[in-house]
Amino acid sequence: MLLFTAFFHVNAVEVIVHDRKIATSAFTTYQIRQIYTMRQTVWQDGQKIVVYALVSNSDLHQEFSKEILKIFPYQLDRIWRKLIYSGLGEMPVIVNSISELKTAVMNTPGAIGYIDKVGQGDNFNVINITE
Amino acid sequence: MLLTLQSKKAMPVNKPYYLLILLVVFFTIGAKVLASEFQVHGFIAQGVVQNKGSNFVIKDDELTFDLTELGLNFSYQLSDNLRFAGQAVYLNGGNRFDEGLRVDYLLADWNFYNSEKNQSHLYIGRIKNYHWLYSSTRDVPMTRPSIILPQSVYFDGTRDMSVGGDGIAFSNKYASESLGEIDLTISSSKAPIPTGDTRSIVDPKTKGRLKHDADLQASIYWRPVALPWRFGFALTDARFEYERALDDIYANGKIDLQRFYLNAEYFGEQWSLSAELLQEKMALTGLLFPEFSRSTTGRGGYIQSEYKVTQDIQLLGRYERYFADKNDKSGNQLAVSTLGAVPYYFGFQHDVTLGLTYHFDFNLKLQLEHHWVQGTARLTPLIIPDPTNNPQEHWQLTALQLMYWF
Repeated sequence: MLLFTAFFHVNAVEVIVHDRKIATSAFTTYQIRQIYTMRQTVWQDGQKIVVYALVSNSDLHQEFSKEILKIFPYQLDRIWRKLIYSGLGEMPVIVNSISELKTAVMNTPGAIGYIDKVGQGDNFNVINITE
Repeated sequence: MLLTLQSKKAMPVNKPYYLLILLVVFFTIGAKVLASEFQVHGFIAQGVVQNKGSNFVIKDDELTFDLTELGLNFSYQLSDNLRFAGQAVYLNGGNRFDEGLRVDYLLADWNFYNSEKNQSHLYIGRIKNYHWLYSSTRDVPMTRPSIILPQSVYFDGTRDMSVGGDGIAFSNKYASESLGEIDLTISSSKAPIPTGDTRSIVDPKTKGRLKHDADLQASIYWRPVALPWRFGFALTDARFEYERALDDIYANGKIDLQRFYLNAEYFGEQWSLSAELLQEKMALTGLLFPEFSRSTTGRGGYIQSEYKVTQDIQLLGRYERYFADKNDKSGNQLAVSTLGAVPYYFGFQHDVTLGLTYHFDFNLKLQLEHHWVQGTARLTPLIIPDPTNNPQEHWQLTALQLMYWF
């Protein structure tokens, strides 16, 4: 299987997607924030986005929220809770560990998630994020 | 502990057993997400309240565990643009509203338009009031800044008239990198109003029922791109008909309620700030006697700040003012017009609140708060006030609540 390697490090957090085709496009911080605040729920080809995240008090989630999304983790919590407890929408699927998150993104079409770093031999579709 | 709580209304259907069993099942199997298309979430909260000098939650000076909130919801994504969702809640808020199980929402969500900048939805079924800052999740404890919400805006006496109902909502979320986010929501729904609500709005002696006759609500929120602020404006227009019972001391009547809201929120890393302002015009026709007519315009609002001391500890401070009639802020005209039967302090209700929250984990927290209140304008019954059980201008309330959610 081909490794997808066209990425560069913006932060220690890397955003990964299931679909290799999606990872070939460049994304802005704004677009990733739209996805994680559940304001963009489908990819450009119409496929449903399945959003994965870690529990909100994990260090990686805190870093992802502040450094990649540029909003505070408590704001994400408020947005997600309002969606699910009022019936307006869904929230990301929350997993307990980075390894769970990796497995989920690898196995779920349309999925997006984030990891701490890409190790040698990892086969993740990392997306390129510009400001 | 929840199961041993005493109920004011011993109706088996009102007991939260089924909801509690389901909650325990989901806690046990930890199945908050069964598949990416099917999500299940819930919450469980129990608290204790004491009010001194009023009957807001319970009789003066008593301690009560009538502060229970349970909820279980699901969301099922049937196809890329069609979703079904529902939530059942069990609420016990003491005197604040009827105790019991409720279908909080049960709706079909049709995401009928998506583009780079717009996302449009139609929600059909039992919908919520999506227009104020906390209106759609006022019974969901971990989403509130305090256990008791500011009564100027979130008046518990009219909770069931304001929380949502059966109808339709249109929502469009616009976003661009130049204008920011603009969310427009328009809805119309009719709320099922429990008899207890009718009694708390009018008078405990009423035998008839209030019916939600017409309703139109709209709101617009704007989050600018470069600012950590969000601003909102909302309008609601509703009509309620009172249908007298055969042996009723009251006449048929109607209540027209128009509300205007402005709100703003600031999001800082340590500090957050929020404020809501309300003007409500209430026109009462009939009810007391067939020819009766009265129209008053109330004004109120609050400003609050939350400060994160550490990752786990958060403080809350709030200042709130409410006047039942903007032309009678002292309440003196009210006292004169009722020949002293209704004291002046039923003309306003101001509240200073301090709160403390401790997060044990990301989904478990304990909230403590104290309210210093002056005035009784937001105590029920609303139309025929009750000075006998609320004889003091100054009263206080302390509440403590533990909440868990998944």
